[in-house]
Parts: sequence; C-alpha cells; structure tokens
Amino acid sequence: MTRVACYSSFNYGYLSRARILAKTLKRLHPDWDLWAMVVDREPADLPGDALAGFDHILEARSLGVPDFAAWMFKHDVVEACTAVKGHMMAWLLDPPDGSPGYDKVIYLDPDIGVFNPLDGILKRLDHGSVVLTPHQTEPNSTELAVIDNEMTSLQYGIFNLGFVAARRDRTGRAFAAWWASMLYRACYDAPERGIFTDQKYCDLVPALFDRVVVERDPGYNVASWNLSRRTLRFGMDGGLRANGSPLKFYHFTKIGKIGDAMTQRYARDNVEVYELVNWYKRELLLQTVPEADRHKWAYGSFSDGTPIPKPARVLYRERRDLKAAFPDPFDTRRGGYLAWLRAETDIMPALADA
Amino acid sequence: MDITTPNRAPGATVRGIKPQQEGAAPVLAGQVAAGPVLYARFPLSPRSLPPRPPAGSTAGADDPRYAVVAAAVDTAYYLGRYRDIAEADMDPCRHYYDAGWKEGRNPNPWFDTGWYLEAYPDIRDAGINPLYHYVVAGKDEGRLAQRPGGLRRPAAEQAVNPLRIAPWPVAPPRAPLLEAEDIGAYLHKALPGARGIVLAASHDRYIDYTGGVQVLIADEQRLFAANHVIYLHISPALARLTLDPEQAEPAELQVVLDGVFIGLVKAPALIQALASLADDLPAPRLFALHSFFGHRSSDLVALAQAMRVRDSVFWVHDYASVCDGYNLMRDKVEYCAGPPPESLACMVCVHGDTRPAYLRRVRQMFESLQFHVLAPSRAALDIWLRAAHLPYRTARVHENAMLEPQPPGPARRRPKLGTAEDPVRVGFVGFTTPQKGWPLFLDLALRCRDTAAYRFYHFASAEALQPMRDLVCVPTKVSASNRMAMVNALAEHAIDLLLVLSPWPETFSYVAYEGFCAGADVVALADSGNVADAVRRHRRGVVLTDAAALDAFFLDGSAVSYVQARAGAGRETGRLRLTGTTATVDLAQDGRSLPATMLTMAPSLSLLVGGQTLLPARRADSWSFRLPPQAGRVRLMSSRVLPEQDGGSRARVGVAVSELLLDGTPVPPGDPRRVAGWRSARDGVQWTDGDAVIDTGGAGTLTVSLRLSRHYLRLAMAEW
Repeated sequence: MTRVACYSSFNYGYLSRARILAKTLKRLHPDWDLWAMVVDREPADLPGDALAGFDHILEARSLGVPDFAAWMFKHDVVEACTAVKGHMMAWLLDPPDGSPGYDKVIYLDPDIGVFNPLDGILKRLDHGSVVLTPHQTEPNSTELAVIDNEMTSLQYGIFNLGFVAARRDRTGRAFAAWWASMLYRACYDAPERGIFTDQKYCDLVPALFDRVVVERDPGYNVASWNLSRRTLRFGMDGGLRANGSPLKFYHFTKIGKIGDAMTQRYARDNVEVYELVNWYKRELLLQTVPEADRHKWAYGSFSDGTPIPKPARVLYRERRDLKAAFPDPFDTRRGGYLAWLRAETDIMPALADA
Repeated sequence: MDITTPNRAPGATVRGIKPQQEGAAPVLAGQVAAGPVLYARFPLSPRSLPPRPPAGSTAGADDPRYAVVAAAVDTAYYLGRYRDIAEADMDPCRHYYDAGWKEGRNPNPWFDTGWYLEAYPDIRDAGINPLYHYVVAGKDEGRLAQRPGGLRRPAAEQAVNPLRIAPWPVAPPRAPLLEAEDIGAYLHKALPGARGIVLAASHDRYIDYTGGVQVLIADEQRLFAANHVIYLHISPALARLTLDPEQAEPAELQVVLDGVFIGLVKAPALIQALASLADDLPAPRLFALHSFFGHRSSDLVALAQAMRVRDSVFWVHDYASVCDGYNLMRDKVEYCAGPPPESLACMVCVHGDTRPAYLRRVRQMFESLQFHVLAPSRAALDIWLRAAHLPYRTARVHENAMLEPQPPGPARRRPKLGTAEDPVRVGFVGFTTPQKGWPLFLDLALRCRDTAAYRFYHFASAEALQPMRDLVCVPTKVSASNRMAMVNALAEHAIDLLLVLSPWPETFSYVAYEGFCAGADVVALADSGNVADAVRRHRRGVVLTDAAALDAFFLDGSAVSYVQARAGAGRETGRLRLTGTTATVDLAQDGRSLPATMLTMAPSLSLLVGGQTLLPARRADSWSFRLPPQAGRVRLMSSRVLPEQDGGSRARVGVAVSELLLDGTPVPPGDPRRVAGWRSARDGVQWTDGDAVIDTGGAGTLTVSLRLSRHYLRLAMAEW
C-alpha cells in the first residue's frame, strides 16, 4: 500500500490556520499521515490537543539542518517557515533514522483548506515525480489583471509553492535535495535578486528535472491570483466546483484587508467566493487557540527577549565574519551579536526610538 | 407539452434568447434548466425600446460640476432614505453636492459613496466628490460604483446561524401565566357540544398577524369552529428561527383558544392539563403542526401524546423540516436544494454546523408522531420527499387556495404599448428582501432606466417602500378585514406583469395568485417552486431560467411583445378560493397508492468503488459511471430513495432500474452480476434496495437507466 505523507510548515501564530488545514484534509484523507513542521518552540501553556489534528509534529530544530541557529536567524517568520520545506520533504522521503520513507509526499500551506479528495495528485505521482500548480493557468486580458497576475508571477514565481508533491524515486529525491540546498543557501524575500523565498527557485524545476507535472486542473490552488479566470459554483448535490471541476483546495491567502481587496477585485459577483471566505473567517475564530495567539515567535527575539529587527537578520546574512564570530546569534548571555549590533550599528537604537 | 414558446420560427434565435426545444423535458425545481425561457404563454420577439426622455434639471447650470452631480442624484431616493433632509426641506442635489457625500450618504440606489472612497484612496485623498469623479472619469476607467459581489453579497455577510441569535420575547405584556387547572377550566367550558379537538402549533400568535400562514390558521380555526371543533393553538413566548434548544428551564407557550388569546402557560403545565383531561376530550383529536420554530420538539411530542391524538398533521409551509434555513437558501444567497448535511455546501453555509443535530431532533419528532404530511403544492411535496428523508404516515398535496379563472375581458388594442404614453406596467409586491427577489427587481428597474418602455411599481406597506426615481410606490396594506387590498391595488394600477422572483421554491406564494386575480401575468424564475408551476398550470406568464434571462426578456423588448399579445387575448382575472387547509383534509383517505405505480424520483445516484465515490454523468433517464480499471464489485447507491407509503416504512426502497449496461452490454435481471441488494423484477424493471452490489469485472463504463416519474401521490382531493 502506498504510504502518503502530507505536511505543512508554520509557527504557532498560524496555528488556527493549520488546524483548519488538518481538519479539512483529515476529513477526506484519514489514511494519510499528516505532519506538522513547526518552526517555533511550543508555548509552555499550549493545550494538549492544540495540534491534535496532526499525526506527527516535528520542530524545525530537530530537522538536522547544519548550524541551525545561525541559519534560522537569517530569516524572518515567513522566510523561516518556507526555508524548512525542502529539508522536511527530503526528511519524509528518506527519514534520517533509517525508518521507511513515504512513497508520496505532499506539502500544503497552512492557509489552505481542502474540499475534495486529492487523489488526482496521487495519480499524477504514479507516473510523474514532482507536481506543481501554477498561479495562473489561463491568460488574462485586461491590463489590471495582467499586472496583478502575469507580471506578479514573473517576479515572484510561476508556481505557487503553497503546494508541491513529490514521489520517492530518483527524480523526486533529487528535486527535494536540490530544493533544500537552495533554501539553505538563501530563502529570502528578495525579488530584486531574483529570489522569492522557496517559490521562485521552482520556476527552474521543469527545466532541471524529468517527469515534472504541471497540474492545470482549475480545482487546485484556487486563490485571489487566479480568480480572474476561475468561478466557484455550488451544485444541487452540495458539491463545490471551480470552472466545473471539483474544488480540491482553496488557498486563503492574506485573509484581511489586502487579501480581501484582491479577492473582491477578481471574484466580482461570484458570491460563492465570499461565502467561502466568510466560512474561513468563522472557522478561524473557532480554531483559535488563545495560548498560541499570545505566544511570541521563538525565533523572533534574542535570548533576552529583545525583538530582532529585519535589518539585523539581513546584515547577518551578508557578513560571513559575523556568522563566524556569533555562531548562535540569538544568544545574548555573553553579549553576543545583540551587544555587537548595539555597539557597532544603529540598527537597535533606531528600533528603540521607534 | 406546456413549455413551448409559440409562434416562433423553429430554431430561430432571438437576441440573447435561445428558443425552447419542442418536446424538451419539463423542468422541475432542482433541475438544471435547458434554456433562458422555460415557458412563455405568448410569443416573444425582440423589438427596439424607446429611450426615456432626460429628466429636466436646469438647476446649477452655471456650475458644470454641480450639474453633473445633480443629474445623477436620485431625489426621490435621497429624500426617502434620509428623512432628516426631507424634514428640513433641503434640496437633495445641493445637500449631496455640498455635504452628503462627506457624510457617507448615497445619492441613488446604484452608487455607494463610502465604498468608492474606501476602494479608491486616490479619489478620497484628492477630496473630489466621488459621484462627480465616477460619472466623468471613474466609469470609463473601469472603476466600480458599488462594492463587487452584487446585491447578494450583503445577504451572505449578514447570514447568521439562528442558534446564535438570542430568542426574543413576543408575548403581550402583562399576559397572565396560567396553571394546569386554569387550562382545564377553559377547556371544560368549551367541551359541551364539541365534536372534536385540534391542538395546533405554529411560530407566532396567528390572531395578531396577517402573513400567509397566519391567515391560513385563522381560516382553519374558523372552519373548525363552524363544525364545533375546539381549536387550541400554541406558539412560543420566546421566538426563534429554529427549534428551541432542550434545557432544564421549561418553555413558556402562548395559548389561543378558539381564536382568543387566554394567556401563557409553561409547557409541563399544559402537558399535565391535557393528560388529566384526556378521557374527557372529544374525538377525533388532531395535532396540526404548522411550524415548530421556537418550540421544543420534546414538548410538541409530549403534548400530542398527552392529548392522545388520533392523527398528527405536519404542514410543509416551508422547508424547516429539511434545514432551519427554512427556504433552503445557502447563506441566504442561493437555493441549495437541501443537500446532504455532510456536503460542502452545508459545511460552508451558516446553517451547516448545527444542521445534523437539528435534523436529529426533527427526526425524533417525526418518528414519535407519524405525521400525515401535507404540502400546499406539488413542488413543495416533491422537494420534501426528495430532501427530508423523514418517516411519515401519508404524504399528499393539499392546496391552500384555488384559482377560479374568470372569462377574459375583451381584446384590447394598445398601439402605443411600450412607449412613454403606454408603458408596460411591471409590479413587485412585498418586502424588499432577497428571499422575495427584491434585489433582482431593483437591478432590473435600474437597468431599464434608460427606456420609456416600462414603468415599475412597488406595492407594500408604507414602511417597506423604498422610493427612487422612476419607481411608483403604492402603499398597500393587506389586513384581516381587507384581504383583497393587494388584488385591488394591482388591478387599479393595471399591472401587466407581476415579478415574483423568489429565488427559492415557494411552497405556495399568495402573491402570484393575487397577481392572477388582479389580471396580471406573472414572471417567475426556475426553482421558484409553486410560482413557476402556477404560471404554467394557469398559463399566465413567463418562466425564465435566471437573472440574465430576466434582463434579456426586458432589455430586448420581448416583454413588450408578450404584453402586446396578451392584450390581444383579453385581460384575464380570477377569484381565489381558500380551501380551509387542515379543516378540509379528509384523513380517512390514507394517501395509499399502489406500489406498482411508485416510481423513482430524483435519485441522486452514486457508485461506491472501494472507498471512492464516483458521481455519474446524466443523460435523460440514464446515468453513466466511468469505472477505474478492474473495479470489480461496486455498490450502486441512491441516497434519495422514494419512501414507501404503506405504513410509512421507507427503508428498503431504492431505484427502479430498467436497464443496466456494462460497456454497453445489457446485464438483465437475474444475471449473477447483479450480486446483491436487488428486489424482484417486474416487466424488466428491477428495484434496488438503495445499495445494490454489481460485479463490474473489468468493464470501463457502467450505465444505469431508471424508470422515472414526476407524477406521484396523486389524490383526487389534492388535484385540480
């Protein structure tokens, strides 16, 4: 029997979203192993069932990434949660403890809700080794839509890495290893350098690897970036379809003012989209774990509690000498990187003034 | 076949409207419609529409900006919506231009000031009057005058699970709280000469309201009273739009005895009173359940049992027994047909998360009381049978009212029809709510504002009217003493077309019948239940698939051609005869029909292959499944099964299979590949028990043909 793992990567601030993912996925695929890759440290007061929807929980620091503290420090929360995705995929395909790996591994972003079975992806992996879903699968025609969609994809990546799937074969493993290595090298929000976290690299995947399947079924990865060309409809059977294809998963990206603005710009009169977003917002309230909401991201501050400003991370990324001098830049017990920042830069005082 | 569009060349395509195919299957509620026009009594042909003369406004001609804004301000709307401006006797155009837009007021029904400024911060920051900007530039730049999502979006956002709304008190102030003995005393007084007793329940104190159901209850009470039958009516003292949750504190009920409110009683006291009187109460004893909203299901069961009723009657006035979203509007925006509670539609809908528990309580009530189910229309009964999946004793149609058509008046020539001199008169009746179709009516009126071909009317109680330019508002109040007020108002204004645009299957719709009586034809949408059925049955109007078809019907001038043809045939009116609802049901007729005539209704077939559920492609009465390789034994499931009527048992009836094909080759009854779950065959038709096992071997396709019928439960008294 094919062993399937699905994983998501998040910090506790995203727990309510991840719980919705787990709930909606487990409803349809109770036989899959669902893994939580938690890029955080567990809050002391976290209720025992907070992650009950997941079968397995792995913290990022247990992944075995070399020089973990130094590497983690280079990333803000979004970058960090994406930076671990490649290592986790490789880990699930071939666990380092020698236990049998999963035959098929699927990654889903925590802000995804699954609505119909993903069996089609497993089928794709019977023959293909890697499956990707593009942001857009149909060209846009209006200037505004081209700017918002095609031009944005050129800058941030053709494929949306809220989803990726790989098979445990030579190519699947090679993809996971390459992806992990690229993310170890630089998983940054730096489109001016041609990098956007874990996503932009994957533009290269169809060129670098064989048997890469570009999944163009409109029922996958429906989100504000393709609503200009997709319409959601409920059938009288109670089913939900996107352009006639059963809606497999919807990516509730940036729920809030910005996301809502893009959603309504392209959903227009497709009221089913608003219904779905309304449902997600209600579900978010239901799935909220207050202890997790109150929790501050473990890698968001120095060991003395001082918040880490982004420029401190960027500087650390760029200067090899700092990495050599402060192999654990979080650590302030003997002054450390924080003391150096205060003495040698204006990064920390500027923040204090603010 | 009653769904043709006569006098049209075969195959001709009217602008935007495909002709209905001759011989096409009748479209029932819940089915996908085949074309934009499902039924039209008279021919439709497009014609050009005359423009509406511009409204003469010369004020502010010296200020071009003001002139632009003033031309777009709807003064009737502004004064109707903002009473302070009307009371201060201010000029609405001047007020909006100077101050109104800064105060977030809307100048007309189609421009949302607040949204425009929020969506386009460049306009907000520039301090430009947003309406001026929209008219002179924004429109051409592709900016939107209103928030996207149409008129249905606010409904979706306001939708809320009824259990999350606190119940609200509805009992009259200082109403006496009665004890069991008080009830006993009241009933004892009524007993002499009584030839029966009815315990009736509904959601409110029917004597004080004049809505559709309340009028029916008042009528049946009077009819029962004329036959010396005691009528004891209960409604909850705390109102809810769902069942009242079971809780320790007893529920309080309002009691109306023989049309007179006598006070409040706690449910246990009433149960006690009825139980202790049970030996003295006259027979027959009947329980009539018109609505259980606000009630506790356990109380209703206990009351009926305490009174030892002979029969219990459940009325399908709405679909509350399918979902507490009682008109089956998912999130209040779209008809959902009451899908399985585990469906995605239910998951997303505000009613979904509490629906399973709600349905369990409804089921307990139906299992305990073995109702005779009465529906006011065939459409309502069909939907109930398909979607409710509840046990019952009998089920039948019993109309609330019947139309007696009057002979048509003389043919009339209307040479100027469709011009400013004789516009087509288009009416809307009632509250401005989505479930009555107001958003569609409003949208249509706005789309037609550039033509003089139509004049739009709104008939409602004064407080429900929403004035706007080019809309004639007619305050009309139907009351117990003047039930004909609406018919008279529609007739007085000579309404040609009454738009009854309910987006859900109305179980009856008085409004449509009021229109018929007043001489109007009715324009209805598919899935409007008895509205569309009544249009077809009485040949009095047009049934259109959806809002786009509605727009096309008016904007391409088809509506004018229709009304012209109708004028030539003479105006038809009618009289409405109320049937007396429960008081005229003969429960001695047990609704039994011969099993041989029972046929499958919408069966909702699916195929279980391993753990995977396959859905079929349907073509007429055939359902085809594409099988995965080497599917082997599969299970043919029919989730909506036809209930058996004898004895109310429904568990073992599935679908009537007339043909079973594997890769196009027949698998006849008796073939070992019909493995299990098959009943005996008759005339080549073999029933499944709802879960039939088929050995498909290595076949690639499985095709099932069913014998279908939409004629079901025909009873003499229920047929017209």
